[in-house]
Amino acid sequence: MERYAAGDEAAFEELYDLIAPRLLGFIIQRVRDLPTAQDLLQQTLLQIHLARSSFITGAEVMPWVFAIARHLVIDAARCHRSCVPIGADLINELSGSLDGADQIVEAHELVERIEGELARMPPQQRRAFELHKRHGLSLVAAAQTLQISVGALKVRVHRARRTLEAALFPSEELSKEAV
Amino acid sequence: MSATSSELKRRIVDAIRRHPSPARRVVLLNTIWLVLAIVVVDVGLFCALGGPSRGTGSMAYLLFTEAGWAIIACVAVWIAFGRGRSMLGRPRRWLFAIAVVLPFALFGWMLLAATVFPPTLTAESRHGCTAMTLALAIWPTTLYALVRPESVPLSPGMTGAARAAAIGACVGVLTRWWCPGGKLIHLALSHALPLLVLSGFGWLLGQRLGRVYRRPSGQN
Repeated sequence: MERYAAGDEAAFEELYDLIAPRLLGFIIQRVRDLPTAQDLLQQTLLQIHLARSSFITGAEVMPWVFAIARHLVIDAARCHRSCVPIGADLINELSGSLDGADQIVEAHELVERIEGELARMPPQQRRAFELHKRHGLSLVAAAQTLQISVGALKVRVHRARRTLEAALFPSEELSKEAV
Repeated sequence: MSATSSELKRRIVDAIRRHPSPARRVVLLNTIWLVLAIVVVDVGLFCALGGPSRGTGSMAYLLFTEAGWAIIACVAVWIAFGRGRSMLGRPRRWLFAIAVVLPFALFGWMLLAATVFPPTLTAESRHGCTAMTLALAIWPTTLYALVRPESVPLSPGMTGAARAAAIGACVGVLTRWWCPGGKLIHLALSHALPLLVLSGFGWLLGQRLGRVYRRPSGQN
């Protein structure tokens, strides 16, 4: 890294060989999707390249690299949340069956309402709900990500569900169908 | 495709080559020129706005306050713009100390000066100290953030706030020279408080320009 910061362009490939395997493993643990992880690997290395002039002689490289990667993972997760709507199976799970021709319109409206309710939800519940329901992580994986027990995760997901159901389906009949 | 696959490596190397990034020596020289230019312009503005004022206080009081203020400003710059031995930057509490505690430290120095030189409490103050500090500090803070963007993986907002406050402290040396008044309320509101405003501005700049975010890969 020191040589690369000093301007030795050939040093990048050596740097890549040294840090890319560990970095990719670090990213994959967080995104669980190889194409996304490879893209984030590229982004992280690009950040390092752009910031090479600020590298401090003798400083440790990996903590810096992991910190950049972690922020890019968080950034990607935020973008994913805002760009990708909740899956149809989740819509069905919460709303029950919707009738006929208005199904698509109602589904979109429901998605918007769900997004709004999620934004208003306490952060702990929202994160637990999104990891398990939106990102499809298992209870164990989501609990590890949030560094809580599986039992605590279940409680948060359950509370988030109840909050959504109460907000989206205030009538008892629809609430029962959703459950 | 694994991390060690040649195709992935080639793809990433090609993406890197599409983004020019100067080496350390070039950036260092450019930074020196940038700082010199900022100093020259700010000193020029300071002179255009009237330059140093002798005021009604004693010369010893003026030198005492200026020396202390300059030393504190130098320490603030060292902490805010340096990263120590870590690429992750200074500890957050250090940056917080510069961004938030620094104005109080400077006021504390003024208070000490008033204790050492009691007659200066009534020394005449000038109007416009806040505006002068902000005018001389905001533009170099913004220019530095734009010309030397850095991805700060930890605490970009606090880093920006500390840097803005440090620049404000340096500008405060000039402002103090322009207004050597001794009234404590004036010193608190017009000399120290603007640094908190600068901290807030710097925090916004840091959050906007300094955080790690996804860059365009430049792929066709």
